[in-house]
Amino acid sequence: MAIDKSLQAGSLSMMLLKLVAEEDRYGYQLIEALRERSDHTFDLKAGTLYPLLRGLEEKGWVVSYEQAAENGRRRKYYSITVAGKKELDAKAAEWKAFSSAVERVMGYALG
Amino acid sequence: MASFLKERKQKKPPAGFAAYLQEVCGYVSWRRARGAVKEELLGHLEDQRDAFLEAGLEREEAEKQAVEDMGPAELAGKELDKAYRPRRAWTMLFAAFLLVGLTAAAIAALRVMIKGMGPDWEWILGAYGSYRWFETFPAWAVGGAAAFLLAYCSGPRCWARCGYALPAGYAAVRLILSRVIRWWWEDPSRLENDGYRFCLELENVMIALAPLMGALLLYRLHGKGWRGALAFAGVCLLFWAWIGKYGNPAETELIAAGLLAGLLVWALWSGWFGGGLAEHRRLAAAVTAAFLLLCSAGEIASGINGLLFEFGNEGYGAGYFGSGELAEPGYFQTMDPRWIGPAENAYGFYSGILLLDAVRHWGLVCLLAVVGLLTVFFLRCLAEWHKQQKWLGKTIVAAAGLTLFLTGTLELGSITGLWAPRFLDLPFVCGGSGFVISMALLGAIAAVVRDGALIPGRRAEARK
Repeated sequence: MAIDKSLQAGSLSMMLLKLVAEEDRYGYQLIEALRERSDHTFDLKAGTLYPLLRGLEEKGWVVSYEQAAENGRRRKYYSITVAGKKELDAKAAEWKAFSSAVERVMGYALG
Repeated sequence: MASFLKERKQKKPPAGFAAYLQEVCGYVSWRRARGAVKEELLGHLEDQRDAFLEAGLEREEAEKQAVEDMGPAELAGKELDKAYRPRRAWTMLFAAFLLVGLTAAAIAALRVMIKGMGPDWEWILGAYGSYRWFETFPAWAVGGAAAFLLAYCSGPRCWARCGYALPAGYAAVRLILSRVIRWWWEDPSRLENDGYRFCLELENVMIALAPLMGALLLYRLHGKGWRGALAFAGVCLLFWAWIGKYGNPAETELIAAGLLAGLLVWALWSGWFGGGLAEHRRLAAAVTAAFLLLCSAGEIASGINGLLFEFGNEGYGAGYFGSGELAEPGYFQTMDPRWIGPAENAYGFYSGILLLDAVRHWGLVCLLAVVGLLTVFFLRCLAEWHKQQKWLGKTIVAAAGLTLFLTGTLELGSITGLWAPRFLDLPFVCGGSGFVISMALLGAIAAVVRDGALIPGRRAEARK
């Protein structure tokens, strides 16, 4: 099911921070993890992902480093920072409040 | 040994990938970022291609599919162009260049003042390097600008790639230079030539680069465990042992050694070496700091003893900073002109008094401007150190910033007469060669500010 881009935009940063918080990942791994977890709902292109990651790095929420991946090739991994963890917690709380409110409205409307 | 020093080799990408990457990078206006963008996107393309190959596609088809999967090149390129923008250290550079301009104006004013004081004082114009420096200012200005541009345009990514070559080249030049100077010292008749003076000056300013070279070497030794830590400490100790035995140990070497020791302790504490040292990093850092303090205790005690002795005399003595050597009798420098001795004994300290006198004429505004600009500059350095996320960026700002901090404040002390100078030192100036090296260090800091997240990172295993 295709999701409206404006709905996606607000939560992509939060989802990327969550994936990086679980373990350090590089770009391709992030796209695959997002696709798999969302059951192909979020099919991010590289042209969208890397500018987002760069933005997160500029804000100090993630930091990058180079390391050999499992396939032996060197990749740029992203790791969450302390500031990034705080931001993730804040965004997750915000999302929970928002989605609960929407659920309640939609539930009342459908009920 | 070969795996210890291993460097990464770059492979040529397939034609389809190269064409896509070139198109994307064409939209990225910041040229310096294009290399990093290309590297990251190429890695992505390779992983995507491998996934298609595993799914059973032919190689050519897999590569074509991988490129299509990336999305339109124009869209990706424009988004990446917005994301990759250089930062500029305007406040820092403005403060630094204004400081240089102000101090150059101060020397010019002093020259005019001294010329007006009559022929008895004009010998100073020839005797002191700082005044001769002003006569050759255009040449030093060009040298300083070249040093700044070289450091700024090369940047941290380039230095990281030369992490072994640059420190090795630096050490080789220093060891040879030091030996040549010692050879000159062994026969006093060899001292009266420009070649000797040039080598001495070159060595003094090269010492200021030692902390920066140490930072680069530490970057390459990341994750090498206790072997990396021992390699760094061993190289430094052998280097200074050689200089002490066969070379020409200058007193400023102490400051450089102190900064390098501090960098090593910080690297240990932050878990930079990782490996087997990760569990005991705090213990290793504490032991290293204690050991270095013990080694330098004798030198520190000697320096304190020398300063106390000099303060016990009338006024301040024109002694050496930190080495404990005493001033010769009759060499006094005070804030009160009545303490000045005969002109033929006045080696080194008249310049400080004269500048102070000039400042009194101009009012405190001039001095406050110097202090204010230095403060702005160093606070900006500190803010940048805090902002930098990559270890290499942090260490370069720390190494270059601390070196400029120490030279700048020591030189400010010379102007105000708080320290006992042997010649006129001015913040960021300190003679022509000092100016060149200060500009190089400033260029290094500005390059780190500009590149920010582009600086290559390393994983600190101890954080996990």
